[in-house]
Amino acid sequence: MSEDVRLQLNRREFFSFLSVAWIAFTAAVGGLLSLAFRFSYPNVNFEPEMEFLAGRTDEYPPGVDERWKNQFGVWMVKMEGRLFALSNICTHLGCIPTWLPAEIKFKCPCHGSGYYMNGVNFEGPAPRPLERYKITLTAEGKIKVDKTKVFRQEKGEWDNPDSYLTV
Amino acid sequence: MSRKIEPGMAYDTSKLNKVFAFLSILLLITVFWVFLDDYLRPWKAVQIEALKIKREKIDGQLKAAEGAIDQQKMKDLEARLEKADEIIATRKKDIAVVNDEILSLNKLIKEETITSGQLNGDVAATTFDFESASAHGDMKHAEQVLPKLHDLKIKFVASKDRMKDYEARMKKEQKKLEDLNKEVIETENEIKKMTMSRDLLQKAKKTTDMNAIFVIRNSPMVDYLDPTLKIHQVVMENITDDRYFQQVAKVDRCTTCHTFIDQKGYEDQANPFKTHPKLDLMVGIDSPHPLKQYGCTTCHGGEGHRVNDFNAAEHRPQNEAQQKEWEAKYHWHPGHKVALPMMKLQHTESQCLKCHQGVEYIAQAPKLNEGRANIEKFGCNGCHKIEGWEHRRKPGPSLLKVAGKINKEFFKNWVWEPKSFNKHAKMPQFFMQSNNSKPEFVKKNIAEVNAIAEFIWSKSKDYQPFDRYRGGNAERGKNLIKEVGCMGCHGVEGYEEESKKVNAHAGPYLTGTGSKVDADWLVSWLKKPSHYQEDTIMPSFRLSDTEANDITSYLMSLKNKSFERLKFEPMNNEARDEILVDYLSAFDTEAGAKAKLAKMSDHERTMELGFRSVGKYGCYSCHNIDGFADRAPIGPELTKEGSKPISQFFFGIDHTIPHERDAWLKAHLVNPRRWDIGIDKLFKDLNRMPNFYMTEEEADSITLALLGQVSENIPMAGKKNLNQWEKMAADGLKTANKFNCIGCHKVDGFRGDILNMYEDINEGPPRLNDQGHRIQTDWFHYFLSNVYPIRPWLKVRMPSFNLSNEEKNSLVSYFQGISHVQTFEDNQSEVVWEPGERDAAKKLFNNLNCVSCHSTGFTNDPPSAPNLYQAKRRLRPAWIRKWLENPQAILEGTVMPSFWEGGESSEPDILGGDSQKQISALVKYIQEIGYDKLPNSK
Amino acid sequence: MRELINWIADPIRSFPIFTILFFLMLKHYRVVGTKKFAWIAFLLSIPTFFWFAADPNFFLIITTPDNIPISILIILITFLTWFALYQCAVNDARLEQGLTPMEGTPENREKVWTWPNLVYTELFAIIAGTVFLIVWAIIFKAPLEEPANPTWAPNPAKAPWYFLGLQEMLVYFDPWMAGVVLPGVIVVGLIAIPYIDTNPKGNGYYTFMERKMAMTFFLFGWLALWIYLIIVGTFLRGPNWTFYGPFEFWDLHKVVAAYNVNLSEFFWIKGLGRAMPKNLLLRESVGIILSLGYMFGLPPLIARTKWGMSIIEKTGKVRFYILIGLVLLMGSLPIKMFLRWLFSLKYIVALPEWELNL
Repeated sequence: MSEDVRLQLNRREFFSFLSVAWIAFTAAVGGLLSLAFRFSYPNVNFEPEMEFLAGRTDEYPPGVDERWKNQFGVWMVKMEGRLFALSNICTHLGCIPTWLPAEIKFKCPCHGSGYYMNGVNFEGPAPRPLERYKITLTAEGKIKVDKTKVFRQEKGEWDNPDSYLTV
Repeated sequence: MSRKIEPGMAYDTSKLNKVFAFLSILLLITVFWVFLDDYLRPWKAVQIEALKIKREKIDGQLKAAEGAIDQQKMKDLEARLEKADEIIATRKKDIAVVNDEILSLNKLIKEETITSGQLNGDVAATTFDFESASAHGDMKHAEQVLPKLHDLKIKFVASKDRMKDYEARMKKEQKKLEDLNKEVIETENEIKKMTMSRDLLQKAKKTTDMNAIFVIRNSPMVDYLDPTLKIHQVVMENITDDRYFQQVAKVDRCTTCHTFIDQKGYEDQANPFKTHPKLDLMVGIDSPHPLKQYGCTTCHGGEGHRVNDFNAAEHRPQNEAQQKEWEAKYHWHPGHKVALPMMKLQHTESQCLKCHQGVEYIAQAPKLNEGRANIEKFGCNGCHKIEGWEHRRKPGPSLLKVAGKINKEFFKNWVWEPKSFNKHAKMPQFFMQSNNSKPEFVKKNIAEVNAIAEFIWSKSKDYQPFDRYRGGNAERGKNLIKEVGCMGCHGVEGYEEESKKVNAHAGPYLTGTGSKVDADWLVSWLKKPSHYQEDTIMPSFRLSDTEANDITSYLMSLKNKSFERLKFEPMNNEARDEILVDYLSAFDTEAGAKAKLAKMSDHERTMELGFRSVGKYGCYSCHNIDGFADRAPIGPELTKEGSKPISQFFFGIDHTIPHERDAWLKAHLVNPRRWDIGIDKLFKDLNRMPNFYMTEEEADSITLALLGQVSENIPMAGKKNLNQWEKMAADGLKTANKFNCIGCHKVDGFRGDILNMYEDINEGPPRLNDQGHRIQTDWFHYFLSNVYPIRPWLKVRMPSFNLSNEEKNSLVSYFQGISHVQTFEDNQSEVVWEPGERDAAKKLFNNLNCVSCHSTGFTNDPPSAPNLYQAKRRLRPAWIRKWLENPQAILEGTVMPSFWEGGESSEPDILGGDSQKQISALVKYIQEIGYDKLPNSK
Repeated sequence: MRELINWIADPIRSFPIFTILFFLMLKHYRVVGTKKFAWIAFLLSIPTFFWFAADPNFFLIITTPDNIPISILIILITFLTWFALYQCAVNDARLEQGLTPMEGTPENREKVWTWPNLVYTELFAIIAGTVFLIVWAIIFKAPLEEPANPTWAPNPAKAPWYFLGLQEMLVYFDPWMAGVVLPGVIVVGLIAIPYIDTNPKGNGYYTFMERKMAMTFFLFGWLALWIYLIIVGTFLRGPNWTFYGPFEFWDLHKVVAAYNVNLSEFFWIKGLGRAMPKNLLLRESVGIILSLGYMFGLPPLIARTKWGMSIIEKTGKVRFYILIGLVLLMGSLPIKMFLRWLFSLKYIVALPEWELNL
């Protein structure tokens, strides 16, 4: 480039046409790229339902209720003034335990892990108690179980008010 | 170019920079525009409005909740809380002690957990060591390890034991703490109870806040994380869309705009925020069709996966008025090339048929049922094959012996214009329609009708009635008709009002009968219908000779003078020959056809034309005619009419009818010949579908039913699969419908049309409520072929139908299926009495004076209630029990009194006044006295 | 008026008119290639366009998202053709005066730096193109039609615009010819151009005078055949590939009687009044003779004309024969079209047994 041209460029003010142009251009290209980035995130979720409405607290008898076990993998347990939602996934290797009402325990058929009604493990290879799911009340007074949030007893999380309903 | 351009430069740089700046800013603006276009979606506006509505509603509920809180009590509670706090304050020391204990217990528990955990691990590891040593045969090492293992196990058990102790103690301490804080806890709980609903509502209201967090969550780029305004969808694997080379699970995103469709409480909102009507039937979580399983487009059609705006989903307006409304409000326009636009709202019911297959009647789908009933009434399935309708009988009477019933003149005039004889006639009219009223066509039609008559007469078998009319009393006959129950199937001239109430169409409207048949035929028909037509559903009413003659006398008095005067024009031979040449020259030249014709005698020609005409107009589709048993129905198949491409419907030159399936179908039903108007057609090509002179309502209902005949194949898992009981009931209903049982009997509140004409419902055919639980199946099976009077006060008679064994079984299982009962129930042949029970039973029987009504076999008084001696074979003992306990609960309005009102016995001295014991005793008594043989049996 | 335009638009009439206008344009290129002409034409076209667009049927066609690029193309091509002729006119005038063409003037021969002159302006072109495409994408949504149904073809089923010319040719030619042979020849011919065109004139500058033959042949094939056929295929062909005038409603039921007869049928049955001979070659002898004569008889005859001889002199026999071959093949299209329109002629040579139909 000739000297003259270069000199002339240096003498331009900051908000010259050129700088405006480059700023606008960068912003526009940046905007387009960010749009592309946003596009890679879905707007709809095809994953299975992780939360569900579970009726009212007075619809559950004391003890273990299995009505949601097949559809959502949750035991509704009402005991000692609380209603909570136990996960039915054994903490040993992930099998599904069975509730034995005669012996008042959950017993996993795979390796014999045993849990009390409150979910605490007491026999077999299970290293920790069953997990509890977040359980809340909607404005209409219906129970809502949210399986995306999990509470573990060994971490002291069973005192978290979201892990039980007072009944 | 006024500026100086540097050497080596084609343009002035500053100018170029200006251009660059301009273009870049233009690009930036465009990118902005892209953001906006992508981000500003109409459905988001809808959701924001929904949030506002929800917020308003919650506000309303909050106000109510606030109002419900007794302010005075609240104040009291708060005062109590203060006092409770004071009390607790005095217990501070004790509480501190307990808290300390809890703290130390915590430490112990934590410690023990560690110990226990370590021991657990040690035990497991040592167990493995021992077991693997044993497994590998290293007995020495195993023996070495065993004592260590046992030792560890003992320690582990001890640790667990200690843990149990600690936990028990902890529980105790916590209880102590609770007790110490009892007053506060209790008061707080009470306060919470009072405010719980309000608090929940406030929480709910917060979720509708459109605050800064709301804005951030929903702002353009950030909304990939966790937006509030988002697309909602329901994915159904069990219901699929047909994409021609693959079935794709349906995905419905309607709830993105129809936010409250499955929630109670929004019934008064305008769409799209309205709750779905009949929520407990459709869409509701407790309904048989919950939203998450069946979605929306299953019933409504439309493009469920499209979300953008109102037009995207392919909504369709119900009528022109709504179309204008939508055009103004939503700029609505129908989309192009849409595979499945939404059903118009009034046609939604038609889609029930997709999943509810194999049944004649779908509960809660009244419009659809009406449409299908009309299809049966007009006999569409006779000419048009519909899959699933094959079992239904031919709509018209058999012509196999017609020469023995009517005369040719009647036949020809009838075929020409049925309504000139009977304005209620279901037989449609083929002639003098919009497309064949030209004189030359009329001449040919007359020739055809003449030929048809000759042909049918030649094919008709000889028939002689087996009985003769000996004269009767017309007035008595008229009364009999009303009494005996003819009107369950027939409308009758002379009883116009009653006929209208019953609206029966299983049999023809009896008018002008005297001008149609002769008396001998009628008497024979009444005494034994199957003598004339073997497969008729008309039953015998076991009429005596006098009765049959009386009824005949009345019916023969019904004359249609104007019809009698009609003289049908004789056949024009030239016209006949012209038509025949047309037929014969189908594959031959005209000359060849004429030559062939010349070889035929007059009679042969007439027969040929008759034969061809029967085939042309499809008479055989509705009537049994000799020689036409194997012919396919004359009309196109309607099994998939609801999915037939619009391009396959011919709209003729008529531009007033919208190019939609439902519009075509309705127009077609109202006047099938309209499509020929303005089209130049030869005689042989004229449209042949006859005109049924339907009302618009009838045409609408049939259109709806046909729209349900779609080609969509719902996978088995998504369809309504009938369980064994439902199947039994569905199959049974087919038979009950065929013989029009439900025209007389109300089955659990369903149908029973004839009851409409009775003032006192107990005078009509008995209502069959929970019939399966009432009667014994073997009795019922026997009864259907051996009818005998059961209810002595009834004048109306249960007819004797000509049922095959299969049909009888089907009817028996019909009621079984409805009531979910097994075939046999305990029928004691030997009654075992408790001491004193039999006497008590007899005493009750006397005191309650059963024989005052149930007199048969006991006294000579005329009975006004069924014969108790027959009860054992006919009824199930469990039902007799229920009946005695509370007759009104089973049959509202029955004359049978209730002797145990409200469970209290009216005979306190018998069996200690125990209602249950008394009823048991009576039931046993009825079992004991009951006959073992069925009445009139060998 | 509309009826008249519909009637004129039929290729039977519009093709000859278009061809005549084409040759007039070339003959009077000096008039066409002026700014005055351009302005007048432009100003006249605006009200004409609006008048056309006021008709709902026409409006429907041009606003179909698929057809909008064609409309833009037409405008572009019109402009570029005019521009070329304008440059030719200017240059030819200068050449007549003995001046160098515009491209040869010192100002225009000056070299400039690629950077920034070319690259900078390329950037502008990229940005402008991107803006155009983005705006286009926002305003004209991609047309979403119904799910693909193998049992139902849309009517009309149109090829993309660049193949519409070929699809239109299918009306007149056997698919083998229209779909394989002729397009192949077109491609081969285009490839061959640099080898048969030895005219050194016009290298790097516009001129018509010095390249009359090349310009005429090429522009005829390009405008009068290719572009014209695309216009017909886009705007004037509707359901069932029936002809519809620009203002005509696309009535699905329209039927145009068109029964076409082979040359051999004309000759033997209609002409001589006898049955068609069994022997294939004998049966198609007339057509075969004519075709052979056209392709192999004409060239030597043309070689003896003054024009022909001048080409042979300039480029040699081989190039001449190749050129004539290609030109004759190109000309076969309009010839066939005329034969179809005037005589309802189906095939000149009809040998379906050998899959050879000309």
